Amino acid sequence: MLHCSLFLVLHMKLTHNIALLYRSRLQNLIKHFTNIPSKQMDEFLSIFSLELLSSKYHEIEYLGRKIVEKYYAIFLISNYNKLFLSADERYDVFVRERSSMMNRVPLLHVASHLGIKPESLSRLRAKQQPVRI
Amino acid sequence: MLKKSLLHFADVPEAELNEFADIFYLKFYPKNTDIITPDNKELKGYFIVNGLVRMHYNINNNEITSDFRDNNSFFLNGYAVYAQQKNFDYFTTLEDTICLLADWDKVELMLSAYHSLENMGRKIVEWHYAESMRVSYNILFMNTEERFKIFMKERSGLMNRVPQKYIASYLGVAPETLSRLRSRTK
Repeated sequence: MLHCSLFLVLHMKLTHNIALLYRSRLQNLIKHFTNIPSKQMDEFLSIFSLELLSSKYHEIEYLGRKIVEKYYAIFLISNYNKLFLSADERYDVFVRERSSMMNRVPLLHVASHLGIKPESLSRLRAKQQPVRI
Repeated sequence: MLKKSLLHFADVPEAELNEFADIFYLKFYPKNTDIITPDNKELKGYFIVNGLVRMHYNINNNEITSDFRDNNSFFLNGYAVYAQQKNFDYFTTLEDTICLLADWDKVELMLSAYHSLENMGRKIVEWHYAESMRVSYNILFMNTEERFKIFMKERSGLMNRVPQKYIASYLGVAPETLSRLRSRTK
């Protein structure tokens, strides 16, 4: 998960400026789920022991549950989309929700994720691009 | 039974557990009743005291069985509760079933009120998420025979309670294939 990856980076003792940048990103991500008092936030960011923190603070426990629920929901929605949406519809959802990935992820991996061939993905992309006159 | 099942996930002080159990109420569902249907708007958590429930959905005019829940197990409309989307599946009784139900907003209030219950709530969600991932893994990477063996190892009690066509649907095989698998293991 993103917040774990970011925390591992912190744990590897990067330079002070990079550590601060990731720390603020992690704080913003956590604030998306809950308002945790600053003292608990500082302790959370400095100790990589989620179970220990969860057992100590109800707010961290709540955060943990909401994160698990969020990723379970993503898993459920992904399964639903694979079952009930056509390739076109799955592509539309992907472009709407994860458009930034199109320029970062090799298209063969995007095609695999969508359950279609790379050629089909190219056709879908071409359909959506405006025609140049 | 509800309290014993909850304690399986986490230690909760008795007073808090009793307060949590108090938000549940009993309801009886006759056999072949749809407890939850598509586009269900009522968000509730369920605990089966006695009975059997089948989860299924329709796709391309085919009915697919996705899971079963029997005695001392929980279920809820996860898609509506966690993803806040309209659900697409049915939860239908295969036997006369007695459930304990709780309104989901009351469950959330209780989890917010007590740390131990919040811990229990997280463990329950984690368990269900892990189980869902495990089932998906089995479907992706195991062949029919392997999936059947796992079903027999973990859920053999259902073989005499669930119509074979539903078990076959759950395993993703034709009923004839299931019969062949069963005769091979006798």
